[in-house]
Amino acid sequence: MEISSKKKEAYFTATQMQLVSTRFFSNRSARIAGSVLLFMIIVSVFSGFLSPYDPTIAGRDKEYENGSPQMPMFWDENGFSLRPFIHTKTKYRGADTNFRWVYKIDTEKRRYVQFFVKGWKYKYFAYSINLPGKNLDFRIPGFTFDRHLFGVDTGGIHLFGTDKAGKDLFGRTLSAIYISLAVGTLGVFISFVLSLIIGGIGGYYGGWIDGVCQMFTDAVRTIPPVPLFMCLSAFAPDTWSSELRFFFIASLLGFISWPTLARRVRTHLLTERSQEYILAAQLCGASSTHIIIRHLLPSFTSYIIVDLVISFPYMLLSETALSFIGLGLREPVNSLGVLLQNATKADVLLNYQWYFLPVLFLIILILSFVFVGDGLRDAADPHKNK
Amino acid sequence: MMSMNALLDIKNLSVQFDTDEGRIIAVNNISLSLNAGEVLGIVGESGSGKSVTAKSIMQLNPYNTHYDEMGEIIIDNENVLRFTSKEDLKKIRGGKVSMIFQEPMASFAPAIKIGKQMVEQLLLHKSINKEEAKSISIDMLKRVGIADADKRFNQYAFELSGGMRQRAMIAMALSTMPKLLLADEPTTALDVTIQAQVIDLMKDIIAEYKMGVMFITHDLGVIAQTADNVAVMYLGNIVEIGPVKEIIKNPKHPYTQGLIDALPDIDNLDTPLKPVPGSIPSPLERPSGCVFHTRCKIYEEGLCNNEEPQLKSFSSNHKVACLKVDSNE
Amino acid sequence: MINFIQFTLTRAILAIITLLIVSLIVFSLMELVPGTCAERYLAFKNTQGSNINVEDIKAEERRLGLDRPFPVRFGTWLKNIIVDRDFGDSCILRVSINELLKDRFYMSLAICITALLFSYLIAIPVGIISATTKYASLDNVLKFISYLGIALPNFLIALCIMLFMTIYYGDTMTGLFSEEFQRAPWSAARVRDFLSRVWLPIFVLGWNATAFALQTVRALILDENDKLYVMAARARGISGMKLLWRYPAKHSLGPVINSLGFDLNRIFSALPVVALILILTEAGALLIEALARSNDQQLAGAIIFLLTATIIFVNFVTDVLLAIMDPRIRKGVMGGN
Repeated sequence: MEISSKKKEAYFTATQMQLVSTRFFSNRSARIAGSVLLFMIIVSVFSGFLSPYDPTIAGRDKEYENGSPQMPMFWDENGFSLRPFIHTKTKYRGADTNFRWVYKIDTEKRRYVQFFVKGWKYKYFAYSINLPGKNLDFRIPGFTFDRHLFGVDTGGIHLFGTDKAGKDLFGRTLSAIYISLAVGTLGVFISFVLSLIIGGIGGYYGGWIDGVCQMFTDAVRTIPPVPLFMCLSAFAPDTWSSELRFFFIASLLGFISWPTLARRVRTHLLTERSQEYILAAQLCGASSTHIIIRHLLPSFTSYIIVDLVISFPYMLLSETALSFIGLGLREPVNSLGVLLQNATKADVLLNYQWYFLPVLFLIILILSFVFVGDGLRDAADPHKNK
Repeated sequence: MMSMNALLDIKNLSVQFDTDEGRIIAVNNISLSLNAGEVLGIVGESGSGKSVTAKSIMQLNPYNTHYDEMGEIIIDNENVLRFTSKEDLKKIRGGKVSMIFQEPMASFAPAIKIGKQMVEQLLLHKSINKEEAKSISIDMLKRVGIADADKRFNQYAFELSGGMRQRAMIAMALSTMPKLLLADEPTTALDVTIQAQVIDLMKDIIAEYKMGVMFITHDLGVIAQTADNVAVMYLGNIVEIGPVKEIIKNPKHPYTQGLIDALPDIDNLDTPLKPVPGSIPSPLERPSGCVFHTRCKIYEEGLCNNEEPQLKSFSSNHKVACLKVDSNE
Repeated sequence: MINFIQFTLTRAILAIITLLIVSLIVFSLMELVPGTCAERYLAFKNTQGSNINVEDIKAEERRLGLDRPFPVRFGTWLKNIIVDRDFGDSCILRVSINELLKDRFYMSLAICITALLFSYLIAIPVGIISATTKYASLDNVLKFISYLGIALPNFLIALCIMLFMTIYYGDTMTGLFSEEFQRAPWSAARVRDFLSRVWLPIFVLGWNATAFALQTVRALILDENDKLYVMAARARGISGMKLLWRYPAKHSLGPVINSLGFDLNRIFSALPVVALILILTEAGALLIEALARSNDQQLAGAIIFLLTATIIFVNFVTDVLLAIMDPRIRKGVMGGN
């Protein structure tokens, strides 16, 4: 609502981005979801720093397999301590406990949590890509760090417990979030490029070219994505490295989800193309490229951003489902789907419920994307009366 | 204007909306009345409260509307503002009172045939059977000047041209023989030639059926042609009310004067247009005292922003709400 | 009337063209697998111990007709499907695919369509309530539930329910039939057993679809309610249920029906994973078998083809249905009011 004339001025001269972000931030659920999302992204990027143990098999804790979560405490029967600490739990089973696993907590010895400890090495921007053929192998050394936020001097501290082999679930969850987000981002990007090309060509030129693009898009869209994906992922031989597989899966995700996005791009283009301001630009003698870049593209940038954010959760869910059945990412790369694979067995469900903790993160991640997407969509829609 | 057998008598109507930003005043203590066979025009900009007034008569305002206790809308000796039961509400919706809207395309349901909607309304208000309803509807369509009424009866709204749709909407509104017709900007969306036809049609029908009509518009020109009396509204208040010829020849309120001045001068087409300066304030920031003082050319500091003007009789039927206009001049 | 026939014909032709493109894609995928059918089968035989040499492979290839050019093979494959309804033989398993698929496909179809119907049966009334209720809290609760439905993947729900069942009932509730009825002929008892188990896959599959449909219906009704013709109808004295059903609800049905095909698509997509978890012995699970274990592209291709063909058909039917219901489309006037 325009209030004073000064605010009115600001309203009329604000750029599209400013308008959208103002409307977005005034939406409470979008704000909360946005901050949650941001938090999770930051956490996942710093997963190396935050997790005391290497999430791969190299960092497993042999003495604490299938261990339950250990939360740091500030006080116990011996008194209060400013520094958090944990007790050692040992699993024991014998005839006296009917052969069921029982935990014995050693309350005498305290293991204090230390901060900024040295631990396993983790790298940023270190890539080694092995493509077929010698000339295409390359390796980027990247940065190596070995400081971690917290750790203990003896034994292990496992905030989310450990799995069958002793791998720390906390670290695994954090790195899984990162991988899932990375695959999702790459998939969305590929899908975006594809849909820009096909939807863009169809939408801009119209006529029979559009007709052909439409038919093709609709045909691909009709195929149920998961079965198609399963079919395609079977093409990847097991001999591929995990990085290659990562790119392959991301590309597949992108290849399968471009139709929906392409349709949106085409619709936007079609409506915008026949708007009068385009005609005006053409009459002024502007070239096609100029029109596309300076006029068409900015007009639906906000819509496209909304579409991209909204397609993210589907990407995440697809990847999770596929990794879950073993056709997506695989060990040692772990995404949320891979983590869930282990959570299906009955004895896990009965005894080791902490395997489900990654699920919570998955749900939160998806929900926050959905809310942010909704918030963006409401903010970008100029026809909403406010 | 206040006659004993007024068809419609609105007394002290105040309407507010409860919103997230607080309670907004839409209509501020207005009173007016209308007799059978008369056309009362209500003129004002968007946001002046004219539509809200009309909708209040039929209780069509949204859920967050609050009607003041003191307000009364009397039709046939009943305060329709207090109606709550389904039977009562039916009386004022389509029964004694009918409404026609600005967008005839939008007021017909797109996927239902016109005839079906007309029959549905008739069956709801009159105890007749379907056959009778159908013949009444077709007669009405003919009466409003639609050729091939039988064929049109079975068509959908999108199959009719703009002018025909407007006539069909009028036919539908009149088929139940209401005593009061509320016309909310019925000619605004039409082009000028059709506007003229529709206005003529309305005048015929008003004369024939002796209905009272409340004609809401922002177009003074149309009011001049159709109305007997006119009320000028601004931000929920009536600022001037009286016979139409009198008001147009001798407007007393600065706002009315501004509206009339803003009309293009047909004799001198080169003169620049003179709009009323400024723009209507948001209902959230209602000006103190006289609500028009922020745009008024005879604004007097200390007086106009402090005191709320009341409607005072200027001459027999002509009332003005302005602190700087002497009554009975 | 003429318009309608024209419309239906156009739609039919479009559907056929789409089917052709899809079958081309599917067939190409089947062909892209490295190694021909003959090679793989004989390699398989090789691991069993028999000695195979190149001549055997070539002979096998000639027998299967694999030495003919691509268009011919594609044409034959397609012709077999359409004319004879024969999908040929599975590459690895060497049995007729039709045999493998027949019952299972119908079963899958039945489960999926039931899930779809149920989801709309729930979503339409609930969506309308959510959109029209005066109580904002009720609306918020329903909205939240629908968000949950979207965020919680189908397989997760399946897992949770299985967990619950295992802990409290001791019965894992997997499979469509319990042990004794697995291979028995149909009888009243078998039907009862089936019904007592089939609700689980239907519920799990429909969960997601219900959430989406709920949101769609709610948004549509909210949109329509704001439109002038609803107020105009109220102004004519129409109220209550009649008002609701004849005006905004009826006009919202269009997009809902339109999305039926796409919803079915999503359900088909969810089927394999759910089938895996719940250990159902129908086409979805078979698909996973085919791909994950033995890389049998013929089978996979046939399944994908069938699923997609069903969706194309459903789309065609809904298009025609829409034309019947909405006079604007029928009379060739596209677009809204």
